[in-house]
Amino acid sequence: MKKDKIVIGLAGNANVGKSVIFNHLTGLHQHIGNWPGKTVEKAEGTLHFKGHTIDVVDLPGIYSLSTFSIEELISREYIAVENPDLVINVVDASVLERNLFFTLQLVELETPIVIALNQMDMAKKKGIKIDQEKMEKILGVPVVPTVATSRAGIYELMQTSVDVVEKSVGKPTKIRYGEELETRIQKLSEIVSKLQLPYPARWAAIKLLEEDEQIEGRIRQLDPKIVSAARKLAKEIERIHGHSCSTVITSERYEIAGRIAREVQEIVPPTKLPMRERLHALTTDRILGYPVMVGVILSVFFGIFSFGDYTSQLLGTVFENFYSVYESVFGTGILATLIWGGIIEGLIAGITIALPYLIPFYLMLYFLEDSGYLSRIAFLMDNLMHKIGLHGKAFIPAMLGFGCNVPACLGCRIMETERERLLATFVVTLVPCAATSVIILGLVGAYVGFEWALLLYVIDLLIIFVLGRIAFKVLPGESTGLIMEMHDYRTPHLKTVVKQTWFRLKEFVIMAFPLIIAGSFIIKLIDILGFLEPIADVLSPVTVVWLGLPAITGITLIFGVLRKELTLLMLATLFETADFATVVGFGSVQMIVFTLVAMLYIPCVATIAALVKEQGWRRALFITVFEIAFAIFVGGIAYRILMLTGM
Amino acid sequence: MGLTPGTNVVVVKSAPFHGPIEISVRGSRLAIGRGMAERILVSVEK
Repeated sequence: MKKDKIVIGLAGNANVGKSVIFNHLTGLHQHIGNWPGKTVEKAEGTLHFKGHTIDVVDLPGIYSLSTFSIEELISREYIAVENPDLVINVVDASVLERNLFFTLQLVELETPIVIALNQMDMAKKKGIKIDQEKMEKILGVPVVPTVATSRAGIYELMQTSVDVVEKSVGKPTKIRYGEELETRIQKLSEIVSKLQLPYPARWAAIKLLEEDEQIEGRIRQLDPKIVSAARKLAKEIERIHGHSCSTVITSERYEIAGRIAREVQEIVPPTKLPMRERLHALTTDRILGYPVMVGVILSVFFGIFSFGDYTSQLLGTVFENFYSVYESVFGTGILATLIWGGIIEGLIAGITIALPYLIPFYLMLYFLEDSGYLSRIAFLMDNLMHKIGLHGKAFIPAMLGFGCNVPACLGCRIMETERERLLATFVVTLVPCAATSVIILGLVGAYVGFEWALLLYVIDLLIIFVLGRIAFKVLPGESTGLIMEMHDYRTPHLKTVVKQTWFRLKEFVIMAFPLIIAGSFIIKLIDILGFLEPIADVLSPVTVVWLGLPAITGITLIFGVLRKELTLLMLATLFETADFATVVGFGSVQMIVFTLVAMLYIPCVATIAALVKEQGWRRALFITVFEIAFAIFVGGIAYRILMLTGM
Repeated sequence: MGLTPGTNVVVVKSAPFHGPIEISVRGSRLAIGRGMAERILVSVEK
C-alpha cells in the first residue's frame, strides 16, 4: 500500500540521542509548541523521503509508560489515541537493559515499531556487542543500528520505516509474563475487549492490574464492575508474591528486559579505565568535585560576561550612531521621541539582552547538558537545595539566575513536578542578576564600601533561603527526592546544541519582545505626557515617608522595570551628576535602602515575560506584586534599622 | 527507574554532607537523594 502521508512518533528514554535523530530527520522544518493544555513541549517536523511526506512527532523523553509524570501520560495517550503509522523507538545500545524496559511497554501498546539502536559507537567503546538479528527475532520488530551524531544509519532507518508502514508489518511479538500474571491478564483482557476503548485490550488489562489511575477512571465510567474485578485479581497477585501487583508487573518486565539484553549482547569490558570514567570520578569526587565545579561555573560566567560586555558595548555604539542619524532625519518632535524612546529603545533593550548574553548562555548550557556535566552538578548540590524543598537539579536554573533571570526561569522546566517548577521559578527571580550586580557594586560598593555590597549579597541569599523555605511549606504537595540518571560523558553534538540555542532564542524573541516594547512604550508615553513627576509625588508616601528616599527615586524605580541597571543610569541623569557622594539627601543609608529595594522589588519586564510564558498570567502577576510589596517592606525595615545605628 | 525488589545494586559513592548517593543498577548509573535512598532496603551480597 502506497501512503502519501505518514505519521511517525519518535519515542525513547531521556538522553538517548532522540533529539539528534529528530534534527537529522526534520532539519529546520520544525514546529515547536506545547501539547494541548500542558506545559510540556511538543516538537513536530516534516520531511520528504522518496515521494512520501512524513510527519515526525518528537515524544517527550521518558523512562516508563506508567502515569508518573505528565510527559509519560502525553506519550502514551498520543500513541494509543492518535495512532501514528509507526513509532520509532530510539534505544541507547550502551545501556540496553534499561532501554528495553521502555521498548517492552511500547510493544504492549501494539503499535508498529522500528527500533533505532543508537549510540552504537559508545556501546563499542564499552565493549558491548549486540546481535541485531537475534534482537529482531525476539521482539518481532526491525532493528536499525545508528550513530546519530555522525548521521550513520539514518537513511536506513527511514527506508525501514517506510517499508514497515507500506507493508503493514512490524507488529511486535507479545510479551508473556509469568503464569500467575498471564492467566489473570488474559481473563481481564477478555472482559475489557468488549468495551469500546481506544487502547488495546491486553494493554488496558495490564494497566488495570497496575492500578493505573487514569485507565481505571476511564473504565469506571463505562463499567465500574470491571475495575473492582481487576482490583480483586491484583489483590490475588499481591497475596502470592508479597508485593503490590504493579511492583510485580514492573519487576517481571525488567526481568524480561534483562533476559533479552543478556541474550542479544556480549560484553567484554575494556581493561583500561576509559577517560570518561576518570572524568566522572573526578567531577563527582567528595572533595575535588567542588573546586572543579566552581572552576567550571566561574569560567562559564567569565566567558559569557566578557563576551556579553564586549558585544553590548559594540551594539551600544552602533545604536548611538544610529540615533544621531535618526535625530537628524526625524528631529526631536513628540512623535519622533515617542517612537524612539518607546519602541526603538525597547527593541534595543531586547536586543542587548538577547544577543550578547542569551546566545552564549544557551550555547554553554546545552553544551554542558549534552556532555552530561549538569547532572554531576546536580549530584553535588542536591543536599543544599533540599533545604529549600528543591533537589539538586534546581541548582542549575538558580545558578543561571546570577547571569540573567530570563534563561533561569525558562531553565526551571527541568524540574519534574508542577509544584517544583513554580517553587524553583519563584526562587530564581530573587537571585541577583548581572544588572542587579551593577547597581549593588556601582552604588553601594563604590560609595558605601565593598563590605556593605557583600552584606547585601548575603542578605539576598538569606532572603532567598527563608522565602524559599516558606514557599516550600506553604505550597501544597510533597517534595520529591532526587532520582536521575547520570549518563556517560560524551562529546556534545555541536549541531544539536546550536539548533537548540536557535529555537530557544526564537522563542524568547517572540514571547518577550512585544512585552518589552509595550512596556517601554507605556513608560515613555507617561514621560512625554508629563505624568512622571505627579506619579513620583503619588509614590512619595512610600518612597519618602516609608523608605526615606528622595521623591525623585520613584521615577527611576519605574524605569528600572525595563532594565534594572536603568535605575542607576536614570539616577545619574536626574541628579545631574554621576558622583553620588555629592548629592544632598542621598547618603549611605539612602544608597543601601535604594539598592536593597532595586535588588528585590520587581523582576524586569523580560523576566516577567518569561514568567508569563512559563507559569501563566496569574502566577506571574502574583510573583511580581508579591516581590514589589516585599521589597518595600524590607526596604522600610532596613531604613529604620540603619537610622537606629546612627549611620 | 529499575529499582525493583530483588535487583542487584552497587553503591559507587556518596556525596559529602549527607548528600545523594551514586548507585549502579542494571548497567546504568543513578544519582539518588539521601531521603529516597534511605527507603531502599538492601541485603549485602558477597
